[in-house]
Amino acid sequence: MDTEILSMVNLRKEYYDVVAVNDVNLGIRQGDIFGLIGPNGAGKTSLLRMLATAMEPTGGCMRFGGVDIWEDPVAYRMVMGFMPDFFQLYNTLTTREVLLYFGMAHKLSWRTRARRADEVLALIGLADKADSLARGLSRGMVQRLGLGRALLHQPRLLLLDEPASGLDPLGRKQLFDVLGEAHAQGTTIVISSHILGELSDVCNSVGIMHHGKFLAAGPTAEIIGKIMPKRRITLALTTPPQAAIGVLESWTGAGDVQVEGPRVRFLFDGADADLSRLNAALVGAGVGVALIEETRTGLQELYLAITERQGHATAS
Amino acid sequence: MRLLHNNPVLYREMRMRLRPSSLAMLAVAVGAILGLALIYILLQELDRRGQWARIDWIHVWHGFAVFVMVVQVFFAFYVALGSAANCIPREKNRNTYDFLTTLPISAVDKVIGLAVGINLYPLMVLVFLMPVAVAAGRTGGIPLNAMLWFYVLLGVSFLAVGLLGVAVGSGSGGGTAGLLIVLLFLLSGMTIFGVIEEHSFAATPLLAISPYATLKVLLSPPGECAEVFQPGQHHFFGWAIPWQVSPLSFLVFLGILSFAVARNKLSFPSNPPLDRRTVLTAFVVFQVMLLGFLSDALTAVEHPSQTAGTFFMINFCLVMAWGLAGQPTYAALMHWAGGRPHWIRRLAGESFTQIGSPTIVPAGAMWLVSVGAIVAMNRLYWREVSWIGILLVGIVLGVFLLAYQSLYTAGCLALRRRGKVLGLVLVAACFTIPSIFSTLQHGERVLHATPLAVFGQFFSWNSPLLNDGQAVSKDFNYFASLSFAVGELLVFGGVCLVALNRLARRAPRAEASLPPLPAA
Repeated sequence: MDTEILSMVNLRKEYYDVVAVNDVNLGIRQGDIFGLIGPNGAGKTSLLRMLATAMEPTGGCMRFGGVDIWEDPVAYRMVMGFMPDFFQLYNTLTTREVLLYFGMAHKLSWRTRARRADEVLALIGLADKADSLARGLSRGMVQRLGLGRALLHQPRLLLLDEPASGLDPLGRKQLFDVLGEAHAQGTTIVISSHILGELSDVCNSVGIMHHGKFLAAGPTAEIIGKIMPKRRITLALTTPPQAAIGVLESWTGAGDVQVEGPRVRFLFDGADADLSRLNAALVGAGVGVALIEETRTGLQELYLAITERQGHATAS
Repeated sequence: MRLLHNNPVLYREMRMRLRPSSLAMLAVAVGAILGLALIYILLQELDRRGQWARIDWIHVWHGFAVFVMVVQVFFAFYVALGSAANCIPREKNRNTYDFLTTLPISAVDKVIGLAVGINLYPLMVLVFLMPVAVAAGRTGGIPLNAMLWFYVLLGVSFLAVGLLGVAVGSGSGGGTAGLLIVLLFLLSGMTIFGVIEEHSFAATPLLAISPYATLKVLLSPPGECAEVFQPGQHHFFGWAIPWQVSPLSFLVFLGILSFAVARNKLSFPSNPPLDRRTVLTAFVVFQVMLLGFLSDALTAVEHPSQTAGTFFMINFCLVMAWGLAGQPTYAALMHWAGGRPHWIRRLAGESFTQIGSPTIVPAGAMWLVSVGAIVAMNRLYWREVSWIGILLVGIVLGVFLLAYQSLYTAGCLALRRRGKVLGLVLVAACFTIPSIFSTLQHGERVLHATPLAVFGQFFSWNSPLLNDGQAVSKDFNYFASLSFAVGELLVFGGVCLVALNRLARRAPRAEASLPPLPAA
């Protein structure tokens, strides 16, 4: 599924003197879960609101399935679900009525919207609150209802702006389970979040925004490979580390050796076969290796590495 | 389009508002107000007559019917206007606006749903109290046709102000604009009411924004009101035709215009409220309606030249205001000017369709329409003002208008960020600096550098002394003003031309092919 379903060409948003989104060019593949990460003020919310047609761009264009979104925004909205970062739902409506209202807007038949409302309420764990007024719901419940209303019409594209904020750990787990189900049904998801650890688990592609521009974007593994090509290896030793340090410092492709008690951490540039050869060399030098462990590079490390690199570039 | 049936916004508002508790509260409140009013009217009558048996029930029911209608006007006009104007700011305040904008329904459905849905309570007051008022009015001796005509007007007013409110709300971020529009309507309505009360005269289109004045006219005995309000002899009209048709026409005009604005703002919030063609069409329709419906007012004026001057002034301000407000942003002008073929070849044609083009040409066209309307009014009603004089004044003011539009455009192009402010300052300076210098002992002629001199002279122009424009060049110093205006147009227009050319050269050219979509 390599087809780009959503593309942005020179997309720009200005608020008076501030450029929130600065000529962004990006393509998101069909079926991807695209994580949008960046510091506060990076332009994530502006980008998502433009993609949701809640706001017009100052310049550039956005295409969904190759068609300019603003040519027929109503048709696009029919297949798109959006959950903004800050929102309230209509306080004097019950949770079921909220879903029925949005179902009606998405032209679902009376029977379908009633059935989907019940299904979604069960999915988001609010079936027992179906007849409660929205004003009586907690922040987390409102957040879940917001997600439910975005999923109600089974959209092809789901845009979520900080969906996990206000949710307890169980709620977050449920959220990512629900997203997993939607993804399994072929929905393309664009999600912005500060909780990078959890995003790492669900996103297969990522875009890192800073000052309205993408510093990096694409499949997560590919970016990590580009930005942080060296593997982080930890050795657990049964012998003193001096011998191991000697071997590692003389080995081409190993570097940044750090000793923490019986463990030695280093960066390694090479394939698994090279790592096996290094292990043999260590054993040959009389080093007792109890464990060789590779630490996976997550979004957190990637984000920090990129923003630090950007900081150095700006400073220089 | 789902208009009313299956309209989700209307469904939402009905679900939110038509809850048994809310309805019961509304019924109790309105019932209590009406009950207290009836008791008060009854006690007042008892106080006047002394005995229960002598009470004039016709008088009591007449007073009660009037009170009910007053309550209905309050709800169906002012409350409806206020709550509709507050609908979008309220959505923004409670963080539901993004949901409204991203609903997969047309802007037409949103406007209709909001205009009707927000005003369900006023609509209920209008509908459910109508039989009460009609029954009381009939018993109280109010003619049935008067009441029905009143309800037709009130019903149309309800829809028009609902749409106007949504239009105002969709263009504003907070509730201040809504409050201001209600206050404006209240004040202007009271003023019109006062004028009718004192002079038994009013230009009938103004009744469109003053329902209490309408009520007053309807309830006045035929002998006590002005001729234009008197019962007519026509089959379909209970009263004189202009009085019945003109407020209705202006309300329909207001409603359609408001609907177009609200639809545009809800579809593309960053676009101007109306596209160029709609503005021009609305302007022409407005002038035609003034021509058609102001006969009663215009024929009654003693000094037609004064009225012609007022029309010149109003139209000059309207066209000038639109020209300034409708000017596109620096970026939009750059985008338009940078296109092919050269902008000067596209200016005349695209100015009427492209919102990115300067407003000079459409403003000029609107001014021509205004002058034509004033000539037509003179021909139809006043007849005393020389048409040559009107044309000359129209030409001088038109040249001034184009000069100021050019200056404003040049100002807009001088600065990327605050260009419009600079343009406004420059135009204001052109008005005020000559006016200040004209107050000096030998500086009177400096005032000719502004349209103020033209208006001033036109007002003081004693039209009966002038015929066929012979006295124009002698008494009315047209050439001085025209020379100044042409001079200003040459200078400001030249600057504007240079600025637009410079902008066109700096504009980025459109990409021949779309750039690739890089991963980063």
